[in-house]
Amino acid sequence: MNASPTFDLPQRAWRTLASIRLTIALCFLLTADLGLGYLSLRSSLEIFSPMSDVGLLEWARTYGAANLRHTAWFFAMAGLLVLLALNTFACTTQRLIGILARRPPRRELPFRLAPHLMHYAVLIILAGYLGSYLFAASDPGRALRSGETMTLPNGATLRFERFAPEAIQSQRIDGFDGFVLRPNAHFTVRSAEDEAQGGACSTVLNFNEPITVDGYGIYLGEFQPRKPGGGMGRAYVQLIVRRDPAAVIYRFGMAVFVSGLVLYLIGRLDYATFILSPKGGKR
Amino acid sequence: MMELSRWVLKIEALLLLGALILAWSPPRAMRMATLLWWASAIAGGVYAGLRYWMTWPMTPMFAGGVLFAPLLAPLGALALRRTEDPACTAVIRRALIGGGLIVVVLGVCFPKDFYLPIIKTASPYAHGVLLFGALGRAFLFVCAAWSVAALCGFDGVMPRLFRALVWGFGCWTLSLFSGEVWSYSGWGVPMVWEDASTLTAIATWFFCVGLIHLCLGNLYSHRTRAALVALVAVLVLAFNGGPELGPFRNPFVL
Repeated sequence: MNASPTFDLPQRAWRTLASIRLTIALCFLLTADLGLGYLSLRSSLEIFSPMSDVGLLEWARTYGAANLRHTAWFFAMAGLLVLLALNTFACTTQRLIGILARRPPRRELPFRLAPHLMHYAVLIILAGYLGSYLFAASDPGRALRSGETMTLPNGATLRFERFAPEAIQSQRIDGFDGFVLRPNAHFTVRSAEDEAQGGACSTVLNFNEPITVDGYGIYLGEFQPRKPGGGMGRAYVQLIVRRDPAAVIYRFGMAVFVSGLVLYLIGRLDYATFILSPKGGKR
Repeated sequence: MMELSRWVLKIEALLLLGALILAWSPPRAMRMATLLWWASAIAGGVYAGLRYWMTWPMTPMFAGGVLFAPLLAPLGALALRRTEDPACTAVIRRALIGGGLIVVVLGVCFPKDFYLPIIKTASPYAHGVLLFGALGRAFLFVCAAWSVAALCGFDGVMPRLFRALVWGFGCWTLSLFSGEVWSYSGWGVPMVWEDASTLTAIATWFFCVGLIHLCLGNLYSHRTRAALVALVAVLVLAFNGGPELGPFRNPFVL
């Protein structure tokens, strides 16, 4: 007896959503869309660069909506990513249930689960990125001169003390001899708790080496002087202050993805030769 | 030093040209072709070393488009180590040498090596972007070479094509993740919009994901799959090599 169309509808929708053909179509569409995005971004960078500072919703409402000719690819990408996330969840969950139902040998299980680990990791990464663009708070332009203090929204303070610059001493790069490679900006930090108790700690800020104070990330955006003794006495640091509660999510997702990838590659070293060989005949 | 590195790149191109001509010659010239190919790989290694020496501890700017060419020789040898069909081996070798030659000639004619390095690139993650990216591109070129063999009608190459695709995808993923960690530690954001080529890097990643699912799903004929996989080399050249090309510079002008 045939199931009624109404009863069958969710199953059909699930099957369509879990289709590998849909995955392929979405991936190729995303490739084309991002290719267009590259052309658009090159010609209109000023539209996209504020996104990290103002947040996704505010950006979409202002810059995005006002420049649809340049931002259409971005909204298309967002839609395609939502579809891909649904497809990934449906596809991998369906296959995972199948694998677990067959009860494979325990030794093989990690390798069989590795692709699904990567699929779920993609979902975690996408969720983390979305969270970051929705909930991160950012202040990209805090400049401090030596001896000045900055107060964070939670009451913690940072006092910029001095530079202890390390310069490049080499003729290898034309025009770079004597330029500062590591400014070593020294700060005195008082967290909100320290402020109450009168404590403080000293820390050093560099490019690619942010400092964290009570959940706030402090990043070095710019500094002067670029040469020791230069800058006409105007030594300063320009700081980027960000609080991004979702960063831990997408970084966790990346760690999970890499774990899955390594397991998958190791598994292929063991099994792929047989499974994929013409005599093995599975593919 | 910059001029010296450009000369080394021209020598690499000439050696690859010689290897390609010999690769189309009678089979007994194949040994010579292989020799020239490895010599070009050494020249490419010297070029990479010079570019790195000039900028260390920062990363050389816009070098990813050229640095992977010398990797094609060792990866090609690795891929061909158990191939018994000499005709298939010849096709793969020609495809890889030809691909490498296109990459290096583009690097010679459209150099973008004149930019000063950026201090923020003095990060292990920035080096990770470049090095994993170079490995990924090389593996994807090997994968495209296997697809050429499949299109020429050789049997049993699809598993090897898939293996190269998976390794290329893996390295490309590590390159993207290195870029993300660098972006987070340098700017505190998941993506730096100022570098538009990040988008084309992600585009290539999605294309690889599509290809992997295409192979795993066993969809369409071998030829259709192979033709789509061959596109990955075009994509790497256009999407990821294109942004790293500078203005035209006549290679014959001293």
